[in-house]
Amino acid sequence: MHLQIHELSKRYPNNVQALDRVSLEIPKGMFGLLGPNGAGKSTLMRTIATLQEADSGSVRLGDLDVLGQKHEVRKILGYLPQEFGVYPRTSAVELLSHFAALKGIPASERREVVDGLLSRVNLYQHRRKAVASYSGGMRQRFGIAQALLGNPKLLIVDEPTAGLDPGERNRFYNLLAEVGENVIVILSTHIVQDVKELCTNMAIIDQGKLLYSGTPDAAERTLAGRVWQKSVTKVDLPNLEKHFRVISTKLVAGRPLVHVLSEFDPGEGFEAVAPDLEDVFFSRLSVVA
Amino acid sequence: MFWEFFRFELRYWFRGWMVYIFLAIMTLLFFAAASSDQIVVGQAMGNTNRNAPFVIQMYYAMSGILCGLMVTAFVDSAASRDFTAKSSDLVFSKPISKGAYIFGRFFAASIAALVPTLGTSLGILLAKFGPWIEASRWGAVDWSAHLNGIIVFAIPNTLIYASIVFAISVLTRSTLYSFIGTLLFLVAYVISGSFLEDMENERLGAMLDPMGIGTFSVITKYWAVEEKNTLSVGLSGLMLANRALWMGVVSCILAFAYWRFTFAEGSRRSSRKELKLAQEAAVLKPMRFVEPRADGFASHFQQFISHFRNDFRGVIRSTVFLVLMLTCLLNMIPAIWFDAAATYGQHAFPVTYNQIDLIRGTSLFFVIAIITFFAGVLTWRDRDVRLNEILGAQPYPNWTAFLSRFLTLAIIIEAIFCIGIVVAVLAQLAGGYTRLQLGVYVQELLVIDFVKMCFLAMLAFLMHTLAPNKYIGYFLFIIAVVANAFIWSPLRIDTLLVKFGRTPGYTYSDMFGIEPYRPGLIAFGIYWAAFCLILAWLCTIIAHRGIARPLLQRIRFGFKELSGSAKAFVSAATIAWLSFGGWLYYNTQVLNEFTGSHEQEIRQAEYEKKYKSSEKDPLPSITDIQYEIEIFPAERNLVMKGKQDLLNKTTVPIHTLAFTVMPTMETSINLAGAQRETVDERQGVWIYKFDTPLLPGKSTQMDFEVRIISKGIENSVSNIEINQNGTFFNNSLAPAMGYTSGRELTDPKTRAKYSLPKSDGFPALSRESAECMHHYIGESDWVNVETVISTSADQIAVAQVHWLSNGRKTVAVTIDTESTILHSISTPSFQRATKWLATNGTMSTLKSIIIQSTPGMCHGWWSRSKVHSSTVPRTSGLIVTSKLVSLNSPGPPVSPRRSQARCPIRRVSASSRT
Repeated sequence: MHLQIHELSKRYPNNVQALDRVSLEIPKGMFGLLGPNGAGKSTLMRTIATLQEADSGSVRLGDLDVLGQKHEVRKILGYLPQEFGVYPRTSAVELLSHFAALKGIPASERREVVDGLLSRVNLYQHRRKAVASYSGGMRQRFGIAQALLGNPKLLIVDEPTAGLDPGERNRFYNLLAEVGENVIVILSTHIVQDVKELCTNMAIIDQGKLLYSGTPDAAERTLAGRVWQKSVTKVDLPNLEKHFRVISTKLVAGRPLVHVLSEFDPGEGFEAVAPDLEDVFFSRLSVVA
Repeated sequence: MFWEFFRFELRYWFRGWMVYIFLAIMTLLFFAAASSDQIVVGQAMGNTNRNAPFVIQMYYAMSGILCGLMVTAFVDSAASRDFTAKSSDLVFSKPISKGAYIFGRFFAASIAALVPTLGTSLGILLAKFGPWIEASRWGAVDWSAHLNGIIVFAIPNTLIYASIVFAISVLTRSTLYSFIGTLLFLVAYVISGSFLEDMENERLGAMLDPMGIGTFSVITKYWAVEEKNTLSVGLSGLMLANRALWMGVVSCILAFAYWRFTFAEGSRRSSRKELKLAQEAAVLKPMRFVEPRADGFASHFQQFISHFRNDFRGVIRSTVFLVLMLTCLLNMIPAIWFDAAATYGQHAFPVTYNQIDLIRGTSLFFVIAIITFFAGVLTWRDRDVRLNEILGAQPYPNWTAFLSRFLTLAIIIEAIFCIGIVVAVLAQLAGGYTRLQLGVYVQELLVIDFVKMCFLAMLAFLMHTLAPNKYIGYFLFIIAVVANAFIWSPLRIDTLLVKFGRTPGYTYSDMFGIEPYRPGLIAFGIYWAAFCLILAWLCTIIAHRGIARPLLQRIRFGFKELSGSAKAFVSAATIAWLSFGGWLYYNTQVLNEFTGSHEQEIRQAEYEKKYKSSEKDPLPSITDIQYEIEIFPAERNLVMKGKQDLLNKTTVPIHTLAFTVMPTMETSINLAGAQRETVDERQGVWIYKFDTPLLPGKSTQMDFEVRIISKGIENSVSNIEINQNGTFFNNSLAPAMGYTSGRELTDPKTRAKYSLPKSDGFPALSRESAECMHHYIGESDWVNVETVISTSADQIAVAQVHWLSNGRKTVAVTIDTESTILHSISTPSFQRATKWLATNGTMSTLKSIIIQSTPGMCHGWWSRSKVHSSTVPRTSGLIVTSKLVSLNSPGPPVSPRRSQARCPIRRVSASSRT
């Protein structure tokens, strides 16, 4: 079962073009959606998650028309939004049971499913506590537990690791990777490393436009032999930006390390470097900019 | 340091919404209580000014009791917030002083808690601008009374609650215990109040009253109306002593709280449950994969159940609900309980309709407040806690969520009524009254009022669904309610078909129940219920689901995604609505003549302008009357045939004679020796011209027939005197001779609007009966009356002679002495009347009243001025006997057409209570 997005467009009333004729094919497995904040990632994901309508275009999931058959899609969908809150004074068991009921888990089996999921995300011992009193990581794990209810065929997680510490992030991704073997998982993030580690396929979008789609490796290969780096001083930066296509500047041991894109060896102390996904990301973005 | 905490706490509350919500609720409550008699707070205000200093202070005293739970909400939070929000480590690790922390929090929270109490003043001040008030009952604003209310009651009573709650909260750090503590205090207060009342030493009782209410009643015990209208109780004498004593108590409680308070985290023993949970941590539960089933009614029903459980839990766990609900019960339960025992110093039976009125008067305000507030909370809850995206992506149909919200409110409404009924029934039993009319409770509260409240809830949900956010939703709802209440009259629209959720007005009677009104209530109920189903459908189609979307988009996609069953549902509801609407239109406007109240007013003004000049024209007197009356109670029909002998007792010849006939009746008149000359169809005035003038001392004969035929459903039920059980009418049904001053407009403002002169009003109070008789009976003296009445077999007019003929009960009544011209006929179903007497009154009372009211005496049970209540016998003990008396003697004029006539010899009876 593939998710096919065809020519999807969405413009908000405040004239922001959130999606601009985006076409994508998303196969089974983990799919990374990369883009800076405000790129249109959330709009795309909410549209697939039946929360919002598109102006034009179509989304198909196997035989389903996602935009028209919302109820059918919701039955096989797991969705973890970028941020969510919970009812006050409501325990994890109460809340997850409510979601399970809405998902269509029969009352007789609800308890077992809820306990199993809470145990899976390591919240079983905290199940009687109010979810509102959870820490950020616990709450996010609760979020993934609810998204996994009812064995979704399509799992959408929007910026799931924001606010998690490295340990929690790892645990979260392990869980996701395990689930993602047999279903479509769309993971949006602005952290390049996440995609590199987890995803078999990926896309980059910015300002509503699709900039790249394919595998991370293929993405890196497009830049093979064209990325050069050099450690410089701060005062050199403006001059460099005038003469080269600077992809990124980051600090390494307090000194700016500049990556530039060039078909030839720029000389001047630049050395060749194997392109990584971050270079792809930033080079694609700077093309748009 | 103190000021730091004080300012922080104050800012915390005034930036929140709780202060304003509670202030709004108290303002509205006292606005309603001060401007109308329908909403009751404490005792009724009697005949003082509605904003008399006494009333202001009494309301402040009552608001002290009502605000108790609100104070708890503020102070408990101030005392325990750092522990519940887990910010205690953060705060207590700073070098702060205990006193500054405790007292800063305490006084700031007390001030926040004081604000809602000030709604008492605000409500009373605003009530003066209510469009329905009688200006004569309002005095000038007495600021000193407001100030005294605040100083004597609001501030000290707030401090008393606050100190108790603060102490409990410091000791237990539990919100639940704080609320329980407040409730226990209130219960103890109410119970001990009744003991203190009986104390020999009144002054001691007054001293020991912590709320100062008993003190207030001791001080004002002998105040006359004039004093109540001008004086207020300040801090002096007994009141000062009481308040000083209790402020001393407050200081002791605070000192105790200070002593017991510790910054250390409460060493709460971890409960056994938590220990068990910790041990379970290692256990890994197996994952179960269950195929979800989110199709078909059974699955959707389970989703609905889960929604409902979640919504209901959410509402009843919220602080605002707790406070509103308990405040409602605090207002309702004592009112029912104590009113049952004594009313106006007399012993009256706690009859059911009275108990129902008490439940209504004390709870409807809170029911409406709960609907208003929680319709918004329920609609926006998911979005407020930011669960909207997760929930929006779940496979449930919108109707499950909507139905759950609606049902949550509906159940809360019914629960409040049910509690009221239980208390009322217990109060009846405690008062030794065993005629429990559970069916009447159910019909009045659980059905009729409930349905009305459901219509209101539907409107609230619709407004929130249309609105882009909660605040606009509240605003739209209030606009809609106000518009629905006030817009129709200026637009001169009277038909109930357009007034949202309105059903015809009715009054319950112990004699006939709501029988005459029932068809209209049911038909209009179904009409509006069908309309509400359409609205409910609309709410589910354009529901706020998922992320915020503009209304137009919700409408566009909602209609695009319409399912077959949704289409079928709305089609059925629309067909039901339109067909009932069409049928009701036919009934109210075609079958029955429909005269709007504005049109009615114009006609009355026209009548006076056109015919007032003939008021003093000479009229013949009636000397003998023979009636033949057929009553058909089940159909509410009546045929009255009459023969009257008219004698010219004046000194001038009479040339013409005008008759006033009622447009709702079919009338025919035959006046011997005269021809009908003009017919004023619009005013129902027929003028007859004698062929030869009726000379002084000459007489003539008049025959007439009046038919009242009830046809279908009316916009408002007319001719209520003809009904299924307890038909009660008098000769005013017959065509009246001459000018009928009863048709004149009476309200001075309305008269001015139609440029009519000021009316003369009633004659001065005097024993001179000539004037009295003139007003009472018109131009006639004693008359001889012969009446033959027939009615259905199960009814009877209690009289000397009766016999059965062809399946109907017929009674011939010849009053054996001359009678006044006013005679009334009443036909209850006999069995029911005697049964009623057997349970509620003794025969001896009945007898003594009969003896008192010998025929011909000018006595009266003068009904209340309101036309509606005066036409409906809402039997309480005394009224029943008076009604029975009226069977064979002239009773009170009860018809709206003659109720304008008043006799100076008045006696106020127990029936004066509505």
